[in-house]
Amino acid sequence: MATIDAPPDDVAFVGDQIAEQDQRAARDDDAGRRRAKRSQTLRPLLWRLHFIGGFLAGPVVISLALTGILFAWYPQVDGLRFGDVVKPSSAQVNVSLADQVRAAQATHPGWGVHSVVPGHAVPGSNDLNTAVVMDPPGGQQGFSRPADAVDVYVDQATGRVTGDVTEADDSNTLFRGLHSNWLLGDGPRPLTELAAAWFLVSLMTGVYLWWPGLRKRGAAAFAFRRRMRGRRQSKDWHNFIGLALVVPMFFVVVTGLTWTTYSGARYDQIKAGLFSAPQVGAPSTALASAAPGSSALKNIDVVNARAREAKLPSPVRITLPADDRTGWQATSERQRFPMNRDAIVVDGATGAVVDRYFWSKEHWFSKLTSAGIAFHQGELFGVPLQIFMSLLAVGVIALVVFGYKMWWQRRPLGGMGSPPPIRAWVRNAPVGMLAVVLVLAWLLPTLGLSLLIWLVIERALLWTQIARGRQKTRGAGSRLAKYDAPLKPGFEAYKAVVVAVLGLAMVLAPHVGDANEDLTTIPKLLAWAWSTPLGVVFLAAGLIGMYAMYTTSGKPGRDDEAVPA
Amino acid sequence: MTQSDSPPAAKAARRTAKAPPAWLLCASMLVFAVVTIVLVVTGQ
Repeated sequence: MATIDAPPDDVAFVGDQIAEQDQRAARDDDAGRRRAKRSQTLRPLLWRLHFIGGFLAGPVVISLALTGILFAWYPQVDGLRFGDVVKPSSAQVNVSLADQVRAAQATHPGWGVHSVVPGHAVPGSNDLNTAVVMDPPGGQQGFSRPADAVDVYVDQATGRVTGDVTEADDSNTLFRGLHSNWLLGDGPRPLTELAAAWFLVSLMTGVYLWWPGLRKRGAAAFAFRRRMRGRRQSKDWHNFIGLALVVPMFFVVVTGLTWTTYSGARYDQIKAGLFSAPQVGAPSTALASAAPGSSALKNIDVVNARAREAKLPSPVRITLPADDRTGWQATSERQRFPMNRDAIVVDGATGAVVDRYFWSKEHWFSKLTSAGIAFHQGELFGVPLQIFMSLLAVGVIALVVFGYKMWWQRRPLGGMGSPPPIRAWVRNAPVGMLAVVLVLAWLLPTLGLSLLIWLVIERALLWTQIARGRQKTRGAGSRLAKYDAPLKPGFEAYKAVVVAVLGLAMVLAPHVGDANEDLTTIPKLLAWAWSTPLGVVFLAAGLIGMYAMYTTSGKPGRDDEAVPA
Repeated sequence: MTQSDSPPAAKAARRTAKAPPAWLLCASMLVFAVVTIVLVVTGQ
């Protein structure tokens, strides 16, 4: 077992200390020297990103973790809330599916039937009654079903309607809404996306920051050290949890981001690019010719029998045809591993299977995405995954809490203790890192935009320092002097004017393009960010910058010459 | 042997966790993830 050189408690500013130790250790060899040089610029920068990203995203991440636990257990919660409605009286099937649907129709006269999920057993959870999805006249289309649909449950042993649950009221919709926007509509949606994007950045930068520890401490860097106290203890917990859970956290964040508004649009673009090859896609429900009587409700039992013969894994959703030119479609909606979306299309008049779709032949990217969603929702491996996801959520909360705690314990008296900015990082950062930033900014537009806004605010704070004549730069003796030279008024003045003009435009013309549904990803995001509060911030920042540059530029001595002796 | 007269190496060893080290958790989850992804992409 590796021995560990346990340092005493300290509340020192360790970021630079570790870099210095790196430097010392690396003197012996060239590779080490190069590594230390890279670490000199990258480490303070990535620490700052890690700190800011984690600090700001933390509260939202905790909320996502808490609501995520609820979301993971939605089938069981539904069982508790609607047990009388969804649970069958016995496993027997005594009533035909057509009669069950007729019983449901009788409770909602004039409504259409969208689809039917015959009663089935759910391993590790409650067995379920037949669900008849009823669609109100003139209803709105939702994600995969009508948005205002009502699930009418029918006991297949007795044929009795046990009750109904509106789509908007079931635990899946409720917890999903809490998880993504706190049930506050579409407004906060970009915030959760933003927090998830910054969480991803914090994960990646966190692994980088931990890495030097691996080099110095070897295998012991992976271990959790007992008997540590104070900031060291918090940091060890933060490291231990972060490292142990980095893989599932990465997958949860990435799969969650695929169905957000802006990153989701990027995902669709990638998918469109990958899918240029002919795809299997969904089966065609169009019949070769009109089959009179095909769409009659009595045929649903034949369709159900064909679905069983085709061995579609349960649950199977039977979608009713709109007319006699359309076939009945039965699709497996199995979310557990191995997932399945096999589907058949049946001509109701003849009972013949006219088209068939095999999930196994689907594009690997589609399969991976669907499995990713089932994983994120805690459905892929049933109850064990639900337990794991709950523990993961608790781990994420602990990770964030220990992150805040180690900052609190390190914080200097009365100060924020945030890692200091690096002024000229764009000019001095390695090309590879700039490329990563650009790729991430493209993949996660909210990240790109927020980084831009952050850089403007950060620059404005530097301008205020200049205006007050208190520009704090790292001195000539500092390792970072090259990257942290005092700002030059010329170029900064141009920047300040651009920021002020942008701010003025935001204040004078708020809500530009807000209502335009046809906007593409980036303009849509800009329209979201384009607001009066941000305009005021930008305008103030620009004006401060212009004033700062005005007071610090000009030729020295001219005023003195103009004054007669 | 009591705690006070145990050699420094043993003391240091005790400072490591009784819980499974992070790399074991991390590696097992990584293996599980890779196997699942391979099965999802190729199988079914």
